[in-house]
Amino acid sequence: MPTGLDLDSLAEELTPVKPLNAAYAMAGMAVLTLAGGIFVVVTLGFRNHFLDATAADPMFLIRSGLLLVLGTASLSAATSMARPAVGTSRTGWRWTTAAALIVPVAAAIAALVGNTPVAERLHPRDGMECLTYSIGIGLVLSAVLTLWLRRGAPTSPERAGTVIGLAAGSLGTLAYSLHCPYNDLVYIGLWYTLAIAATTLVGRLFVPHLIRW
Amino acid sequence: MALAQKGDKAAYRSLLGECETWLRRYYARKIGPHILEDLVQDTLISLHRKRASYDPSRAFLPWLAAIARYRWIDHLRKAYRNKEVELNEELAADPSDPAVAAKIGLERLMGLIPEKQALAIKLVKIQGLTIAEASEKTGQSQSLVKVNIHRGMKRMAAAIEEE
Repeated sequence: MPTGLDLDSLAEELTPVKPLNAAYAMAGMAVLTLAGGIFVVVTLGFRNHFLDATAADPMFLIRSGLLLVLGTASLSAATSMARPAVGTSRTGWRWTTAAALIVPVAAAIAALVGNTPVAERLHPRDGMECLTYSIGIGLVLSAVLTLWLRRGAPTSPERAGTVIGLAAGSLGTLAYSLHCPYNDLVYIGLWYTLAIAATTLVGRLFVPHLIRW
Repeated sequence: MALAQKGDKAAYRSLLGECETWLRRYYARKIGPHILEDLVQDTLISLHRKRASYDPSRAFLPWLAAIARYRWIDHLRKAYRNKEVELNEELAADPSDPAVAAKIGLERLMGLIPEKQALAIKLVKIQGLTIAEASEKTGQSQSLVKVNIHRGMKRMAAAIEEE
């Protein structure tokens, strides 16, 4: 029993398409993250004494590494979702997120047991700057990634939205961290987590409507 | 499909014909027959629109099955409960490669959710029973049938690419 669809006409409408290339999307996001980092450095400057010993501060290296791994893992999952296939497993981003969540948990413990009052460790004015830049860059990255993913066929738009927000937030925060002068775990655990959580929430709430097909 | 992505219309027409046959078998007994043709048609249109999402370095069938599962769940979400449906017993799952068919089939997807949820979905969304009829048949309360359908659909939607 044939369908009402005219397959001959459908075939006649065929135009060549370029298969979606996840590597190109990831490279594009890397370039945008770099542009975000340059924007931060140009407008705010490098973190204090960037070129001397503080550049090698363990906390700076650890947070940069974590943000890079989290951003890459979630970006890899997001781009992979454009090209669905039964039998595909994408759990890497979940494990990376779990590892990154150690930071806010450790920060909460450090805030509770530390000798310095928490209020002195939060620096709200700088924290707001951190949120503004990280979320702002993250939203630009989210928009570009969403536009790219609209060409694909993500079978779980909600999960794709979450992962897009997570990737964009991590990379946006990574760009801002080039300026961020603080190495305090409590500061990083609060503001960085809030920035990434905000873009992830935005991704989860708004992106699914845009990529559903 | 790789040829179709390059614009080969003859290869694409042949592929569409094969896919139409495959999809009709794939959806057999997993959707009311009055919906079957609509679903096959929608899936073929999705295949056409989303052809750039096929990765030519990978197998074609898992990609087609992911598109097909997505469209199937989308159709199940719509209400058909008042329509009379009869399952077409002449159609059977694709026997050409039982191992592959088992891995990517809709039965496999329904197997990923708890039995009670799968039963509620089967009775209401596929066979077209009302909530009250399904409640009577399963012994579940009407609200539980609704909850089971909702949870089952949500779980299946999240598991489209799982084997």
